[in-house]
Amino acid sequence: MNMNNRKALFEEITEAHKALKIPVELSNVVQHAIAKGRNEQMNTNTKNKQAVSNEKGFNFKSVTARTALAFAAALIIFTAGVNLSPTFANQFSQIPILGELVKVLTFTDGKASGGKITDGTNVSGISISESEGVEQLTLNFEQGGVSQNLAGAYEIKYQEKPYTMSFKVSGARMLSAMDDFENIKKSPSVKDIYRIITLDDSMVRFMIVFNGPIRYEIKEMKSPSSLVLSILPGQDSEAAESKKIVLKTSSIPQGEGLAMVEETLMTDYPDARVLRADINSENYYVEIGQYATESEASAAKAALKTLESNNGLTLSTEQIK
Amino acid sequence: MRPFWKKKIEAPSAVETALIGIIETHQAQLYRIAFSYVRSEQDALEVVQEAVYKAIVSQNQIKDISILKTWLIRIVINCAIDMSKKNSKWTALDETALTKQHDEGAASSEEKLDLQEALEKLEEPEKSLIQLRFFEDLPLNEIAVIMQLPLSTVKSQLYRSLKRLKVELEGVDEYE
Repeated sequence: MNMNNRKALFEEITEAHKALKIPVELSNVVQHAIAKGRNEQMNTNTKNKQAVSNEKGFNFKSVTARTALAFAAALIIFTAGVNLSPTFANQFSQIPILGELVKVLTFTDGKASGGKITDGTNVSGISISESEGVEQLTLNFEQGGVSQNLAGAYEIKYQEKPYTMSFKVSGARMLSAMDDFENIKKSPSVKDIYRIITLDDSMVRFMIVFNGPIRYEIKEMKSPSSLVLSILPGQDSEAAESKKIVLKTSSIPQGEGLAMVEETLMTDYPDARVLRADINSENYYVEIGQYATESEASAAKAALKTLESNNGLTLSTEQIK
Repeated sequence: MRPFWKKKIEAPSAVETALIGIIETHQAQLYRIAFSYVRSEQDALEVVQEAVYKAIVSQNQIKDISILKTWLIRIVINCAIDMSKKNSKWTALDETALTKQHDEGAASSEEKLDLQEALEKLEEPEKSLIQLRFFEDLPLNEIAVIMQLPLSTVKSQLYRSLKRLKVELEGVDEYE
């Protein structure tokens, strides 16, 4: 082998080295290590190392072992899932996720919940990645700048036309993930993402609007906590196809007024949701419900006369596109 | 006793702020270095996690912010060597990345694997010197700080590493 060949080899190998694919979870791994390191550092500074080491729950080797167990658990769950929906499971199965699997959420009527009741949770970040055609959104939880071990109590709801997924996290007072919203909008699947104002100051909510129907899977992870939403293109459900008419309020800016209207409707109209009037608009409206016929929608509208008069809003019906 | 997440969070020190900035800026490079030793995505992530954790908890040892990056790379290399010893495997590069592209006039995949094998036969610190100088394109003075060796020693060892590499490759040629 001559010198030129050897030089070419080095250059090629160097290029290959620099082109090495960086795993999407690297950033999460680094942030988790920083948070744990900071926690340990603070414990050292307070000369309480021994006492704290018992409760801090961070042992690199045990984290590694738990991660391995999580992968094993995930494998078992996916193996079980393959019997039910082979294509779906296969498409999601190749994506590694940081932390231990708590559960794969089961959705009933588009709704699922989980997590642990906390106070002072910060929904700290939301990141997006793509692997083999599957998009993945990861939602992280923190307390005082440190990753939570368990996810805060959450409720998730998927609705159609438009295709939205709302996230409600109780015991949360911050939504730092808002800083990531613009980045999330760059996702080919995501049309919009916005915060929903709530009257409860210990709850944060936000809505993701998708460009079309999706198939989804959400995993709740711990150590560190996260919710990992995997998305594939989907199709309308039969229930959605039967709905033809929507009843909605007029549009107003986000704020307590809109939140009060939504809260008023919450009990009797559980499918009510806050939607943005237009992608660039600052105005939002409450979609009260979707109906199969104009007469059903009109009847619902008539029953809400007081809502109109009390809040200065007008209700209208519209064909669902 | 209060759980750790309810403890008061201290403001980060200047060193910590700088260190976190360097970690976040160079995390891909740290991963690549780790990967070149352990040759597994999961192991490389584990190495980076351990190295970052160790760096943060050991930040009090740092007296000079200007050496933070080299100090961090040193930790990554140490963690990666420990991991690769544990796994008893060391490979310089991603074999898939190595062999996936082959155009005319360039070195053949077989030759690339020869070089890879030759790299694998190098001992520490020669492997790290080659890695840092040629793959990470670091200047010799930074490599000297990372490897905690005098600059003259880095130069001579690097020269020796290349010579040894040449011998290895020639050995392959002779065998053929």
